[in-house]
Amino acid sequence: MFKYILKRIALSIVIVFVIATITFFLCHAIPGGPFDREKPLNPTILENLNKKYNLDKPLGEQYIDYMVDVAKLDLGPSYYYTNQTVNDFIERCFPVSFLLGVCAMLVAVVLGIPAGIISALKQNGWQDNILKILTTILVSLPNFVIASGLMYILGYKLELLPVALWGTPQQMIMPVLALSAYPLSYITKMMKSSMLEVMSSDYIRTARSKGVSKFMVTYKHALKNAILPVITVMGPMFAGIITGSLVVEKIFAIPGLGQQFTEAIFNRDYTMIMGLTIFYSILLISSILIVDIVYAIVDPRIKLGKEKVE
Amino acid sequence: MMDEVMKKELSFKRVPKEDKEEEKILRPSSTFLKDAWYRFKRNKLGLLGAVIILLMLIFAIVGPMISSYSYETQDLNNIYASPSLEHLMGTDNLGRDMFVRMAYGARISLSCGFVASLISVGIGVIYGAASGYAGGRVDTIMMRIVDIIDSVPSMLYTILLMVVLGNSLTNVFIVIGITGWLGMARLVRGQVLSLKQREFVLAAKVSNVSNAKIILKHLVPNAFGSIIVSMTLSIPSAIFLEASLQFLGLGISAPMPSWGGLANEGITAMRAYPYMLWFPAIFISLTILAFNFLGDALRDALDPKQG
Repeated sequence: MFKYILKRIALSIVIVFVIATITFFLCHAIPGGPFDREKPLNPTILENLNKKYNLDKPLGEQYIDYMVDVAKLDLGPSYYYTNQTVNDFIERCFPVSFLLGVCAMLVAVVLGIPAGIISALKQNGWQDNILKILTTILVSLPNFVIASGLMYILGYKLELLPVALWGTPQQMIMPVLALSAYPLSYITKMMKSSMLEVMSSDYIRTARSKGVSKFMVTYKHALKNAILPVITVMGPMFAGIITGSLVVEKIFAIPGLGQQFTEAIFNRDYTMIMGLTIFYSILLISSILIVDIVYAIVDPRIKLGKEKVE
Repeated sequence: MMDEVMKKELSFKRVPKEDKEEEKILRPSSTFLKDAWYRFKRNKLGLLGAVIILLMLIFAIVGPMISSYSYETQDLNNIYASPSLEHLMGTDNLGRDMFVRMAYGARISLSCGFVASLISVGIGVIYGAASGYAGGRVDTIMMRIVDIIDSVPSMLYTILLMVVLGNSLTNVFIVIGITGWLGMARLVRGQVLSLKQREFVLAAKVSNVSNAKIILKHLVPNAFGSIIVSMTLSIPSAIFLEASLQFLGLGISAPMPSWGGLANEGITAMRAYPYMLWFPAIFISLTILAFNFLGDALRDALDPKQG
């Protein structure tokens, strides 16, 4: 177990290192410098700027410096906002995005799991059919369509909820709903197929034939096992929520990290783009790592240390 | 009653042996594609999806031809005109005709869906087939690489690549294409792994057919069904990704419209001129839904084992 976890952590660090390297060289392959303006800067100023940000050193040296900083979790200064570092932005904006993401995840799990169970228990019944149609539609609607639709109906027409910004619980409802639509339908589908599989397995039939009530079989025996595969999709789901938050935060003008990323793209703030890409990768890879470890602890059928059977 | 039966029985004649019909094949022999078409026809949602896609294609091709407006001509005396006979979908904040802009948007979005998926299918098939066919250590390393790339959301490096390469239509195609091949590579590798054990591959090897030819002529065509299905299902995600990129300010440059860009403009004008949002939003959603329906129907038709 311990060995397995160590191995996974080492692999994750290697992946982050590779990503940081690729990101660094990609961003330095962009033609033009970060201080190119429409009106060229005074050569002396440019020289001083380059010196300040260590851009006068050879690329190899810059790379090593940057990597050392990343290892110390220091993502460097922003080229666009003077005197602010990427870390400042992460400290300021990430809590907002984190809250948004966690809420969306909670909504998806809390609604998705019961929906999946109902769908499986009433297979081909009207409940299942309605859920099937709903999930197919939710999967096909891009998040900006859901977000703007909600905004128009709940915000402008019914005037129930504020249409933008962040802070009050009312302001959170629409972004959370827009962001949770896709993971919600994903979990519903996953839960349904996993529940169907478990319900047709031998031990469920045995329990039923021994006289255990249908209710007990479903909620005590089947549910525990059916929920396990849903844990494995948490990692990829998290990725979906992160990318979704880029668009949703922009629409609702939420001062989160996604919004910051979009702005950095607009401003061509390369250190910011670089730093945030690396930050998102670290976040995602560690969440996948945690999910894997949790899964191994929760499911005793998995023998740790051995390669997964495909 | 009994008599009747007896009479009938007595009226039976012995059939000479050579006329026996039991060996005859009554049903005309059916090819794989005919069978698939038969299964596909019975799927109502799949047909609906195909019809919607066809209509969108016609709209994209014919729309700009029949419209007397151009996508970039501004008419500042006629801004935010509501949908009317003159402007079927109204005009935008610069008085440009929305109908023709939507049609150009359809061209961009649909071609992005097709071209980007074709690129990712190309890369994925070659990579996956090579990995599966080589097997052993090479396969492990190649698949580990796929796992590593897959642990970062494709949106992130799509954005990064777009920032590096700059905004243009070709770059959108290329970037979405080269970031979307992982699933295809896994799928083809799995198929090749099981197919390469079969006798016809052994036969080809014995008759000294080169490895490349075995992969391209024998293995890949056998995985054709699942490749087509997977490609159909990757088109909507390419369309979605393009729209999202446009939303974040990456992608093709103005004044050329794409559905994502039009939706973005629509959101800003939504409060007073909701039609600006509804047309692109409905068109994008319908197209994605249609491709999802079509993909599911094709899976049932071409790949009944997986259903």
